[in-house]
Parts: sequence; structure tokens; C-alpha cells
Amino acid sequence: METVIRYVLAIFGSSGFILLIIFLNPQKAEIWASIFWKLLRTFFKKAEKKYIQHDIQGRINDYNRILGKEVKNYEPTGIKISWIEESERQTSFFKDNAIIIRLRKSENQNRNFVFASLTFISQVVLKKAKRYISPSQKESIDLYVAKKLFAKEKPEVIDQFVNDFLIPKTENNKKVSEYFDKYSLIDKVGLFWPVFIQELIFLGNKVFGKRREDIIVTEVNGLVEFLKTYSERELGDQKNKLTFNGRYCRFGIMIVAKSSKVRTGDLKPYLKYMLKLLNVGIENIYIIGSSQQNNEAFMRNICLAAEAELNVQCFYEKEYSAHIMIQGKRTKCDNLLIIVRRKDLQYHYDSEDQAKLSK
Amino acid sequence: MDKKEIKAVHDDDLETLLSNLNILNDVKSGKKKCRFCGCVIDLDNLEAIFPDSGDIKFVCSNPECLKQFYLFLEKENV
Repeated sequence: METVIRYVLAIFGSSGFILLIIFLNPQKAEIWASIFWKLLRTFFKKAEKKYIQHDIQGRINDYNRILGKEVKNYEPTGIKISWIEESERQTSFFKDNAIIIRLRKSENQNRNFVFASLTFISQVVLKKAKRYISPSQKESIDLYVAKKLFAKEKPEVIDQFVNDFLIPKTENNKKVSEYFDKYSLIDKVGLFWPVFIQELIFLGNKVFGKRREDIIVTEVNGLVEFLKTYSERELGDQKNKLTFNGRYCRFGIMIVAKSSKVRTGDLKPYLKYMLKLLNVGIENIYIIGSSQQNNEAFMRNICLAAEAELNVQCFYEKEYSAHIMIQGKRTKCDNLLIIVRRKDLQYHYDSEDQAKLSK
Repeated sequence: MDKKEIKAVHDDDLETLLSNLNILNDVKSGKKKCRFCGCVIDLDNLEAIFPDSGDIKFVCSNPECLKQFYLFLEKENV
């Protein structure tokens, strides 16, 4: 990397280097631009609007870029704030059929950021899956995603968010409050994005036409409960069920591995277990284990062998931090997750497919 | 990355926008109501406006109404 920087500096000079940084990090550049406009806003009215706009766009788009790496098949959609022209008239207002949100003076930028983010999240995150899930499931997911966005991009707005949105909404709706609590537990073991949201993305991509919303809502409830139970699992506990075999979501978690098994390098028991899962209709297998070097290599070997011997493909892998229960206490560990998917996935295109589900 | 456009009006331009839409006087005289809770809309509590069935609708700053507003956006796919 140092060599690359030296070459760029030699060929293009420092201004070229800055342009390269901007090119590689457009979202960060937008956040820097917002700081520039913030300094000028007391002198120019235009700078005030530029600050509000770039601060919101830069941070939300930066977070979206991160989400694109957290979840496979997540299609990141950015935000673009367009200020209403002074010439906006009734005819163009109705013609565009667009909502107009009010953004307050920059002294209230925390409030602006919270409002714009929630508007954006409600329209963009899990757009497909949200067609089928219940209002409290949708709302709780939006609130939880918003909380994570704020914690990452602008922690100073958390108070505003909690007081203006989270407390009023969770106090009025017990279901939302319960879901929110469960997502938080699931997130502690690092599975909110790579398993829960991932499964909802798979769900949104495989259901079409006339669908059974009632079944889907019940199934998402089951999915949340399953992952919550998993999140409370003690290390080494064999009692918990590690498969979720619903009508739409069918997946299993396979934990790899005991150090004795890694030492012997015997892949057969794992392949046998994966075959057993596939035979009962499981579509996605989440292989989870420590990201320590030996274990990581062993997990990858399992995937390669599975691709060669079973009807599956290694779909995605990511490293993440989990806080798992060890002797009743949450303990941080670094994990690797590999998603293995069967190749012959079942899609639900029409009413005939849907009818099969009721049987 | 595809981008979702969100239209916004700044505090300083709010009255001009409402005037251009011929609704400023109605808002100032308390004739406009929130689409979700029915409370009177004024220049302080107005959070969003949107077209609905040929009319201009308003959303107030009550968190419950904002919740309804987000669900409306998802449902209508605005």
C-alpha cells in the first residue's frame, strides 16, 4: 500500500492523492464536505443547507456501504436529499407524487438526522420482505436498524432517538418492545445481520405472486424465537435445536469444531451431518466457528469438500465478533461464519406453490 | 450505488413552499389537520407533506403519527 501511495504522489502530486482518496471513499468525502459547510454556515445561507444535506447523505450512505459487506445479496440503496425548489407549485407537487419532509435549521441537526434516517430506512431496508411481515415486525426491525445506524454514524443522536421515538413507540406497543429486546440478544452473538436479516432477504427473494402472509408472519416469529434461544445458549450446550425447518425459511446452524476434531482433520462427520440436513429440506447451512487460524482452515476445508460431494455452493463468508455465554457470562470471541446454500432452492412463484404450503 | 431521492424543505423555505401550494393561509389559520391523528397542523409541528387522493396531506411531529407515516410509505411504496 505504501508503494502505491508513493507512486500516486510521484505521478499526480498531493492534489491527485486527495482526489484518489475521495474517489475511493465517496461517503467519507461527503462527511468531510459536511464539516466544511458546517464551518461556513454562519456566513452563507447556502452553506447551511449544504451542511444539513451532506451530513445526512454522507453518514447514511457510509452505513449502507457497511451493510453491503455484512449481508450477501443486500442491494445497498443510498439516499439523496433534494431541496425543494422555490418554484415548486401544486401541479409539479402532484405530478411528482413525492413526499416532502421538513428539515429544520441546523441547530436541530440531530433531530433532522433521526427523522431523515427513519424515513429512509422505512422505504429502503428489506423492501421485499417487508411486503409480507407484520407491522410490528417491520417497525421493530426499522427501529433496531436505526439504532445501529446511529450508534455507528452519529452516537450523539441516540438520546434524541430514544426520547423522541424509541420510548414512545415501545411504550405504546408491547410487541415492538419484545421484538426489539430479542434482536438485541441475537445481535450480541453477532447473528442479527448475517443470519436474521440474511434469512429475511432470502425470504423476500423467493416468494412471489399470491402469498400466505399469515404463514410468513408466524414463521418470522419462529425465526426470531429460534435465534433468541440460540443467543442464550451456553458454550458447548447440546440441548438446543440448531435447525429451523419452516415453510419458507429452512436453515441449520453447524458449529465447528471441537479442537480434537480439528486436530484429526476428519471432515466426514460434518459432511454426514450436512447431508442429513439437506435430506430434510434444509436450504441454508450456517457454519459457525472460531476464527482462529486452524479452525478457520478446517471450516473452509469442510466447505470445499461439501461443494465437491454435496449439491451445495459456498455462498458467503464473514468474520464477526460474538459475545457468547460461557458459565453464565457474556464473553467476546472472534468467529467466522460461512453460508452454504443448496443449489436446488425452492421458490414460491404462484398460488399452486403457495397451496402446497398449507398441506 | 442506486440512490433513493427524498425531497426536503428547509425551515427557511417552508412558508414559501406552502404559499406556492396555496395552503399557507389555511395552515396559519389552523384549518389543516394531521392525516393520522387529526390534530391541527401549524408551522411548528409540521413534519411532512404528501399528495394523497388528489389532496395535500400533512403529518405532525407526534411520534405515533410518524410511525403511521413510515408504515404508510412502506405500504404505498412512495
